[in-house]
Amino acid sequence: MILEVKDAVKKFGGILALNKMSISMDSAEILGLVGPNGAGKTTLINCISGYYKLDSGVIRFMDKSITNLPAHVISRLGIARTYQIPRPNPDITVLDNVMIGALFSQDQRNIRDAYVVAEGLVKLVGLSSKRESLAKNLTLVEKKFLDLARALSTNPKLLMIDELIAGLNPVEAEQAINLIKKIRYDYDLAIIFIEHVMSAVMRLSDRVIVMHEGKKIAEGAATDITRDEKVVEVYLGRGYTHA
Amino acid sequence: MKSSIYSWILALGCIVLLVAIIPFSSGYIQTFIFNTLMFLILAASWNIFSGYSGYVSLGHVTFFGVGAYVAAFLITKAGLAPPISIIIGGLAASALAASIGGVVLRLRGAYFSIATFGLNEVFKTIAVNIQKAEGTLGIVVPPIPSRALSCYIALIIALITVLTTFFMERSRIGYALISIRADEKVAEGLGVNTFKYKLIAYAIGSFFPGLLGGLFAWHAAYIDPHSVFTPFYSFYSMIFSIFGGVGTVLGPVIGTTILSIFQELLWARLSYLYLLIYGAAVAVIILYMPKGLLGAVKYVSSTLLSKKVR
Amino acid sequence: MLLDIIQVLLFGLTIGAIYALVAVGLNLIFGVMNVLNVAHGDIAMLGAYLTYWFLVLFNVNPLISLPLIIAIFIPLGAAIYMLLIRKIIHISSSVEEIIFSSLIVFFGLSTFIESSALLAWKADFRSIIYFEGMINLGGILLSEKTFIALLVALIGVFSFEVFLTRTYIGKAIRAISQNRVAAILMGIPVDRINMLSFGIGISLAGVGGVLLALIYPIYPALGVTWTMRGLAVCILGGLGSFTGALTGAFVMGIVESFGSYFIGTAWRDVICYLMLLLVLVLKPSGMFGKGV
Repeated sequence: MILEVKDAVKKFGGILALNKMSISMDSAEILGLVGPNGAGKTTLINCISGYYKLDSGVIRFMDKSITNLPAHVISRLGIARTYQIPRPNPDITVLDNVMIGALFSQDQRNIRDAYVVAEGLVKLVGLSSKRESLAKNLTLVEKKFLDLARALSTNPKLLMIDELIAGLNPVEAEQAINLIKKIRYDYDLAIIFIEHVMSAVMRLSDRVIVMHEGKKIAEGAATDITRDEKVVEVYLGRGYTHA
Repeated sequence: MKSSIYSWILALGCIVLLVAIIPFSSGYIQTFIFNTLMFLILAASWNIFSGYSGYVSLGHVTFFGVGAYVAAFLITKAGLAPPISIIIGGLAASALAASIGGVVLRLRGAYFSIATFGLNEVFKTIAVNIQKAEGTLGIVVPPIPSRALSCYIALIIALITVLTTFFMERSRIGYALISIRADEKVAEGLGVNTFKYKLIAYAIGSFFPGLLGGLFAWHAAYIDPHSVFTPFYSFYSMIFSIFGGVGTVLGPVIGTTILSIFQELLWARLSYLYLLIYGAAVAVIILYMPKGLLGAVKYVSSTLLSKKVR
Repeated sequence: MLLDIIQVLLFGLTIGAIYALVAVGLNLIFGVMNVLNVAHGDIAMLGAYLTYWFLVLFNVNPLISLPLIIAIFIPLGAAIYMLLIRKIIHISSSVEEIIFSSLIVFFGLSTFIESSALLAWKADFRSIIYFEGMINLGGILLSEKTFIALLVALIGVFSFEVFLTRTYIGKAIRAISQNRVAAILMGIPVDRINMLSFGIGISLAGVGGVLLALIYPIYPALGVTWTMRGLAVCILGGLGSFTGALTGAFVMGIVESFGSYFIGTAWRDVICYLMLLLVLVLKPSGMFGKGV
């Protein structure tokens, strides 16, 4: 058992963002998380990573309860995430950005070791040529990859990616998809993968969960999901872009 | 964040120069040097926590006053030698920061600032009550033997403060603080125990004003609540750092040196008006130069140097 | 004993009412513009000193000074708004930035005002000697000055409440406090209302300062003390809430009065600060507030 979320409830004022949402992951798979805007996908990730606290429900990671633990503790236990709108540290270099996770998620790392790890990750995501650039000078795509590198710097066992492909041109999207495949095989990670670009979801996911209004409305293989009546109804004629 | 070898040589040169001229300077110059070093320590120590973490402390002077009072008491009541009293004063200030920080550092942004602002008022009141209990307006302390000695000790404290900033910037604490300043929640998501590092930096940053307070008590030979708990010093700490560039090692140094000289020139002609100008100057700095002098210089040099087309 | 308690209570109400004036002004400025006026108490202190000098130099009854102070402070507020606040709002890309920048800039203004006061008037205590009689309300002795301060403060708070709820400008102010974007879209001249609000806000502080000066001796450093009171009251009641500022003020006034009675006046500031800390730690949004 890697991750188990049971009956998660999260309210924001009058809005019920998560309505007894449950998911479980038993192996290092890629789980696609789809659904219309406002379905609660990002909220779910926020709750799992400790960014938000649940109002009720239980989250277990590697057989340990992590419900309402502080975010930095959850990060050390091995959960990392990227952000829908990338949030790197704008005034420091790409390399320094990646070092932060490396320095803090694993207590023992000194600056030298963290530097080595950071360099490796910067190379992995293809930003080596920009390693000394300030993060604020990167393009959006580069910032997304930086975000990914930062998430990986914490040496996670579960990586949650929030809309990486959306907004990328076909060439970049292909790069991103290949990168995720590579990460999955090199690091043997479990990945939760929020995405709107259906073709990417189809290609990458072992399994897909569809959310709507804070609840799970369908679950299964990617190809089955797209034929599911409820899912089609919820998307109502929403097509998918080709990568 | 890397300084060239030239700035190191320059810095070393200035220090050697100072050390050399202090004993031969007039009382006026010595007082000027002492005051400048005092502001430098206040600004640089404020910068250690507030400059790097982005949590603006408006009560920095609290630790100066606490250090002053603890040292003064130890000297006059317990008969301890001044140097030891000063060090204990610094440690007391740090301990206070660590304990009050436990509460105050859980507050966000503006609330934190307000809490630090009020903290000073509290300790001022406590000092006033102590004085009332003693039946005196202030504490008289046996004076330091020579002003040159004050300058040397101040120079040593200033050096230690700046060096601490230098090493902290490159350490885990530095990385933690910078990540906190950029986005605290994201930092936590990356495994940074933000509370712990804020507390450590806050305690370290409060040690130096504590030391300085004790030295001030010895140097001035008299302290009273209103002079050592004056919000003006909190203001100076902040504005000198911001002017020179927060979040850098040399920013406070440059800012303090320039403004101190400027202030001295003004005072000689316009007595007291400099504070008025300072108040107005904050507006200018915040509104037109948020990164301070160093930031402005970097901006100009980077624009001039990089002719690349994006 | 009962008489004592009632006296302390009345005094607490008076102080509370004056704090209400100061706090309501601070709250108004924050609610409308998201500016934390850390110089609010210093402006109150200015009002107090002006009244003192009007009395000493021109023999003006402090009550007559009140409309004078208001007449001076509204344009003064407009000037501060145009010079400082507009620019702060212009360069800030988020509400947090406005709050943060205003903290620092107004801290500078506070230093500016306090040092000017020290320069002009020195640090000695000054007292306003006027209304020195005593009033007897069925066995309860109240000093004339406390009584007048209480009356004026209550009138002031009440008039402001009427202003907020019954006048067009008052409604515009409330609209902006609730939702600035909507207010702009509705055609409310936000910039002009901001300017007016700041002027009114500091006038309230000025009046509060005058009333405090009737009761206590004044000196320049009091500005900061009063600012802390105002901030503590607003945070206790909830930043952004008018009811909150009112309630918080009276709570603070009464706690302070009783605290002074039992523990002694020396620890007033500490009590106030501890209350502030308690609120910030337990419920930062205060009793009624929407929070920072």
